[in-house]
Amino acid sequence: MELDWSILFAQFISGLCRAMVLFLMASGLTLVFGVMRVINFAHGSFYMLGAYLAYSLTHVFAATPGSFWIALLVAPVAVGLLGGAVEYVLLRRIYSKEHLLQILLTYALIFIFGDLIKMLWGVELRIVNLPPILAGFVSLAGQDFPIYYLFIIGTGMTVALGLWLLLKMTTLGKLIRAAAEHRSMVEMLGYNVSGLFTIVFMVATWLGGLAGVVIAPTVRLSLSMDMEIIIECFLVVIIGGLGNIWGALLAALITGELYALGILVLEKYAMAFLFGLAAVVIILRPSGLLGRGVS
Amino acid sequence: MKTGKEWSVAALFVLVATVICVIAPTNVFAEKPIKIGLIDSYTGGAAAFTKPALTGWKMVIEEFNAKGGLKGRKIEIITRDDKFKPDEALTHARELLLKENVDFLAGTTNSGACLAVSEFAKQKKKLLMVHIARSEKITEAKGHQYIFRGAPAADIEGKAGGAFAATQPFKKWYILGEDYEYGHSIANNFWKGLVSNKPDVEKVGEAWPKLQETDYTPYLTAMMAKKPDAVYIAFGASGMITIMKQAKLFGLTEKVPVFAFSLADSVFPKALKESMPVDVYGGSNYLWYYPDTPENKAFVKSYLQFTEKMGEPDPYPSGIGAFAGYCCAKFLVEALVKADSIETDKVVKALEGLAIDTPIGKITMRACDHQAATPAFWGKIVRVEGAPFPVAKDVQVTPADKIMPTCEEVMASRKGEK
Repeated sequence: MELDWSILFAQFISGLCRAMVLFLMASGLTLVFGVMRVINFAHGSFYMLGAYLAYSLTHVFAATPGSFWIALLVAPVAVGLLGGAVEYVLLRRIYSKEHLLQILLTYALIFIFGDLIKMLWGVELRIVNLPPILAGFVSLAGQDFPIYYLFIIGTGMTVALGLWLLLKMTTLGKLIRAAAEHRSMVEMLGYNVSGLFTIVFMVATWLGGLAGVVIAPTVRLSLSMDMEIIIECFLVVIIGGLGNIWGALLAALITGELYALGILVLEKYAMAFLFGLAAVVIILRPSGLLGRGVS
Repeated sequence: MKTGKEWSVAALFVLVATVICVIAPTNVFAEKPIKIGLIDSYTGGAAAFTKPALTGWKMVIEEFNAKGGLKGRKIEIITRDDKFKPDEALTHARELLLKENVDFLAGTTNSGACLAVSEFAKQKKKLLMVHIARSEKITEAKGHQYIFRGAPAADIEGKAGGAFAATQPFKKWYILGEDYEYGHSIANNFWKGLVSNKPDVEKVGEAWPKLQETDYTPYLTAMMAKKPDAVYIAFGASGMITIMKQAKLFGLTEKVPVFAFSLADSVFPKALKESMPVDVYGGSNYLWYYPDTPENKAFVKSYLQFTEKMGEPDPYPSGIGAFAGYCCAKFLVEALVKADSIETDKVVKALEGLAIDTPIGKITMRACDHQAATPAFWGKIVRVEGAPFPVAKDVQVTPADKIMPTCEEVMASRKGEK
């Protein structure tokens, strides 16, 4: 087919949109691994919970014009608080145990949260409506884009910037990075690492909840949505380097764009690109594109 | 005195015997109901279809039981959740047969699960009534003596869609399908139906996103790049909700005519609400507003009354769910009465060629392949004054006999599989 720049641009934007959703998810996943050395299989559950909370909040406040914005503020915080409780009650008991136990615990959480959501919301399909203010289109380079795509991209970029500021500019961020490098050293300096881990897990689950709220108006909510996204997120985390937030950002951008542009070339096999890329990266750079660890 | 005592003993015997005879049919034997094991996906996206389908079953069975059942034996439905997974469906089928001793199996929504249970039913010589799963393999290449489908197969729906699309002026087509059995099957049959009725159409592209994809945006932009005249969306029921939401978000339906089977089904506007696209072309195996006959109106009314009793009133029965469940239950119940038995072989014989009265006319279970000959309804979905949500206008009906594969073709496909 003939090369048309406006089509490439459209594909680029949709790839960016996909990348940002992946990044919102993967950043929380990789942060937890980088700092706490825990692979949180249940991250998708926090994402699903965020989406379902968004559903309930937009319905409770249906009469209020800003119902979606209430959900955007409240739901991730609620998910983050729950995440904090999970860390405090469950996760901190297993840091010193073998990895298999961690996997068992976080994997069990998937089922517990899944059933909990089933009990609270039932199995029916749930739909979250678009906030009216973001329902229109913008014209860019001869293509119409839903404003909501730009909102997703903007949210992803804001979160990336926020994480950068948090990790580089604040004392908390410095402590997080230090704890990721050398936990016992930070403890010896008199800081409460346990509390730090709770905060990190809250931030990570807040990110998961945020991803759930942001994606809710574009999908149908169902009890399988936790598993639908998690595999791709793990791929992004692995490609970027376990525990590396900037690696996750880079990997999300690459996979999102590769996927979107790949569809133009080989539309039937777009998914294969992603796994192909993961395979190549793991062979050539086993520690991921940007290496492991929180930088 | 002696004879008097004997008489009173005899009288007591007669009394007891009479009591047993009167009470027995309803109390003693009725304690052993006829059991149907229904395996389906009650969690996840498919629940929007499986729950109304179960209601359809219950509606028929409750009426049957109220009339006294089969010689006093009532039907009991036992449901199991396969979570849309073939292996779980098979596990449940085993358990239903071995532990619950069900007399008949029914289900499923996932075609893969259906094929797994079907193979098991074939081995165990148990009747399986299929109500939502669409793959044509179920009754064609993989069909056997013990499987029946009281709902449409993908080739019937696909070809009917193609035949309808051929009446529209579009030439350059793009196909976007979900990458699994049903998606490929309905897309292929749509294309076959379209090409055979309108040979000058051209396929400008196709794409196959994976099942349960959360973001179709890159596919939609890539699709528009091919500048098709019209688009056919070959998605399963639960994926359809997401793709339609994103299509609406993307403004796709304003940019290009979109065709999708099942979109005319009431389940979609009910689930999609404001996100339901309009001015798209959709079909269904049943429409609650068409044909506008007393039979159909009566069905809608009794369905509403039945769902009111269950506490979830539904004035707009769906085709994929409610109507399919209703038809399957009716086929089975009428076959039981016709066979006057619950023995599998006799019920199989009774089902072959059985025609049932439905709100849209008679539907026959074809004897050769055990596939119900179901018609398809297609039209442009628009907002109509007085309708609760967008509905199909200028409905075109495609009868099954025009599009079903012949018995010879089906038998040839079965030989090919062996």
